[in-house]
Amino acid sequence: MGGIPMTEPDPGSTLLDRGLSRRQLLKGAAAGAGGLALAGSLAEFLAACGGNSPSTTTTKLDANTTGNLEVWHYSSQQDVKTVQDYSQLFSNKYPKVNVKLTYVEFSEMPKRAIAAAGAKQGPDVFIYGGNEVNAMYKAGVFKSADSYWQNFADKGQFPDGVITRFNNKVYGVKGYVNLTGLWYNQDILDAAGVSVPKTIDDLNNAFAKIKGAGKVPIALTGQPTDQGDWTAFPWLTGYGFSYKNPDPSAIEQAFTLVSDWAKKGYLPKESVQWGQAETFNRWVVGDVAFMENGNWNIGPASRNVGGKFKYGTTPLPAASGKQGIFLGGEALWIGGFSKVPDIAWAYMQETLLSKDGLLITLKESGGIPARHDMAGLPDVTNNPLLAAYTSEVKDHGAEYPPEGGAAIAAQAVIAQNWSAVIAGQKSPAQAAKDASDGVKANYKA
Amino acid sequence: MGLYLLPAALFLAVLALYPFVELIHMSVSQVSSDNIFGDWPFIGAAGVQAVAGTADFREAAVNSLIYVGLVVGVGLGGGLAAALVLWRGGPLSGFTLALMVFSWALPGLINGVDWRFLLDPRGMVDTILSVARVAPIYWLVEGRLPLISVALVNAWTVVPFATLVFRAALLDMPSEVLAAAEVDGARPRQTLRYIVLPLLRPTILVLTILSLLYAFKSFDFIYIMTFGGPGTASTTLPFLSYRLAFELYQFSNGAAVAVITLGLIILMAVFYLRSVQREERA
Repeated sequence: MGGIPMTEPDPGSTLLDRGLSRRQLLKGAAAGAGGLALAGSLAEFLAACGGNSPSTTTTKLDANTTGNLEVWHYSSQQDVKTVQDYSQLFSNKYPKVNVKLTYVEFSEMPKRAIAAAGAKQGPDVFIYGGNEVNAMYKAGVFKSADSYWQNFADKGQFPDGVITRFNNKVYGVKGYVNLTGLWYNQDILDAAGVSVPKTIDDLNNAFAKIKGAGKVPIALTGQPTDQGDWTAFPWLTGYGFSYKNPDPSAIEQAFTLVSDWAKKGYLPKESVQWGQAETFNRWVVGDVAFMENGNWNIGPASRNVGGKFKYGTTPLPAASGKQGIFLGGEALWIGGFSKVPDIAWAYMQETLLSKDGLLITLKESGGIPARHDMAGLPDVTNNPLLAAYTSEVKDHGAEYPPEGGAAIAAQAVIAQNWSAVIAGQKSPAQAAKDASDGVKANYKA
Repeated sequence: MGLYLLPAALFLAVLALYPFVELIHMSVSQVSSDNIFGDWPFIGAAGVQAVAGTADFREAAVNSLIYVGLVVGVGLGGGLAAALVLWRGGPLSGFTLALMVFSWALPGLINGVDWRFLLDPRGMVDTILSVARVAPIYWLVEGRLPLISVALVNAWTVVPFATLVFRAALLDMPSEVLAAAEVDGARPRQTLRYIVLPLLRPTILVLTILSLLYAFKSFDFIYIMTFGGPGTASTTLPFLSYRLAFELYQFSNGAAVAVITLGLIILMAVFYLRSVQREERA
């Protein structure tokens, strides 16, 4: 990508504007999932980040509160049950509020939300965790939840890394985090005589043996979309890449790694067409040893793999301790034109900010609760599939979207070159140069 | 008489002219998600010039030319061939035409999804080819193949429309001219070259212009089948415009690409209108 310069003005205030370093943010985010980091440093961190928004009086809601609440989500048929189940918690408490769950396809949600905001319309609540929140905020899609947040009794349970602020005001909160790790098919590993890899060398050696055994070594997302960027980020950062410092040699090392995988037949070239769902579907077939994918597949894996093969998860091997893995997950936002913001906030409180709601996402889809008081739950600590992810959160968790959503064009550059390298459209060196130049031209956080 | 045209004129003004004017306005302004609903600072032609000078634009322009050439060439060539085969009618002719209309009428989204599966290395096309010991072909992955594959799929949907139009023109052809050629001993190939094709010239011209317009603004197949990739290998001008405006929220840049594309389409539309007028006068 040649790098069309962004013509938009510098983005508005984001998390970074509070004088916090990216490292602090990562620490805060890392502290989030399951309260896995040290409580002391987290408390210090939270204290440093404390907002000062004025408190407001809100309408007292009770079981007789009536109204309509529209919630936009992008959970497909496969996992919409989770949304329905945690929404039921709200309905149990406010039975006279009519909740309408509206499905909007993931990539379409920002566009539809911005278009709706132009007409001063939109839902009361968004369940959204993509990288376009900055653009949505600027277009007036969200209403600040700051006044509600300041009065929220449980606000201390949430680390700063899961809270999205604009202009020092809280807008969105993730109740749980999702991230990518390495899934493996134990049967294939056993048959090929390889153990679960810890390093990149282990991984390459395992791939060679698995390929020799006639199986497909790995599936991952190579799409030229934000899903591709999400997948590429851990490998790139492991070699020292960051959006602020897009070192071409770091990018080239990561691109060389994945390019070699594609050339040697370890990674199917058609992965450039796969999103995370297609990657999962390919792995579930049973002839693929590894896949890079998220903890949200824990539920679908148990349903789709069944007893077909034994499987497990392990942290993504890292080239260095610099590796960053995006902390995703769905945040809740109050719609900018909601006429019932009090009810919208109540929905947030009762669903993904509540322990009961987060237990539902944990059990049904594997979302790692961000609340500190859920860190020690057996459902979190005793789940072997989650263990890899919780350790990644602690050691490598990185803010998502990066730079508060201000790096969106730079992310697109990375995704396109990641895709081009896997397909063999570009050499790793050329793609690294293009990616580095493109990120520099497009990143203006 | 003029008053009767007013509703249609108003309709067009609202649904075509206004968005067009807004697009031009956006392309000469600085617009992002910051101010999409606010004031748009005027930047003149600088935005269009900046976009037109990028490597992305140049690559998309070249891709568009290849794409349009394939869609028009294969679409019309295939349509003419099919029309000639189906010209005389017969028991299978109606059935075949109905099938073709069905594939033409299917939304691009469905066609695109179907073909994406068919062209997967584990899909039906490669599976059939493997019977002949052909190694898997990465239709949507390697080199120029993704762009060519999507263009051919798009051309496949042009063929039925072209067939219908060509067949109608063939059926309208003066039978005495064809009979005279036959009496004079013209072979089928000679009849096609010296009688049929010249008589089809107006139809070919109109279809070429319509197909050019269609191919140039084509978006859905690329969106569904490759999302402009791998990398940017199948990114055409309309897709680049979409990506800039709706993926990166660089509305000005997206509008600038759209305006340049529109300019090319308008040129073709003018050419089309003039050719129609000439045919009407003839």
